[in-house]
Amino acid sequence: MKIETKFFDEVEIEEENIIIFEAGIPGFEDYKKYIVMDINPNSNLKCIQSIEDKNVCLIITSPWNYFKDYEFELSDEEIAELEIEQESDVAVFNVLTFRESKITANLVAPIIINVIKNKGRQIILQNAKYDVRQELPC
Amino acid sequence: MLVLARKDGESIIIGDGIEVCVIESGNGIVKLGVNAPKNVKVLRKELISQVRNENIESINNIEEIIKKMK
Repeated sequence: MKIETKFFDEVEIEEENIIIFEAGIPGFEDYKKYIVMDINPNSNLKCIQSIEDKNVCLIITSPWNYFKDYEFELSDEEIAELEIEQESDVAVFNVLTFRESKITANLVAPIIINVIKNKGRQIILQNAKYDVRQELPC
Repeated sequence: MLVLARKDGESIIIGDGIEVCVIESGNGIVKLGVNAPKNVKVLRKELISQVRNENIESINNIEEIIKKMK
């Protein structure tokens, strides 16, 4: 199917690559279907693009590219909701924001994707020692 | 909204497994202890709106991130 995207205009995507966020993404609760795309092959960055609204496109990166010690535990409820069976089912991304010439990563609310079942959720860590706006060391 | 008065050290019970205890209060701050099953997430409410606002802000200026991190 063809979708409109923020960066690449119209893109042909495979329906089997669509990731369902049952709860939406906070702030964009109405949109449940997303696709993860590389920005360019040499970059650590990806984007998570709504297939329903081209303007809903968040830049994400694997936290371990920048924060080697980043860690958290998923709750039983999150594991059940995303139908996670093993650690290798899971991809973790954090949303990047640009403001006042700085790039920050939201380490409090990682996006968790079950890459086998194509289900995703942005979770909020409880008692997190991390920041919503953690500056990227770059 | 149900309103209950509690003293320091007193608790309320929600449903089957959740206890909220007033540990200490005073100076406009109440320190609460929450005993809840592992599958119940306890969050400061403002954290949820912070995450929502951060997401909404993040879709602005994304070209700048790409430019800066090339």
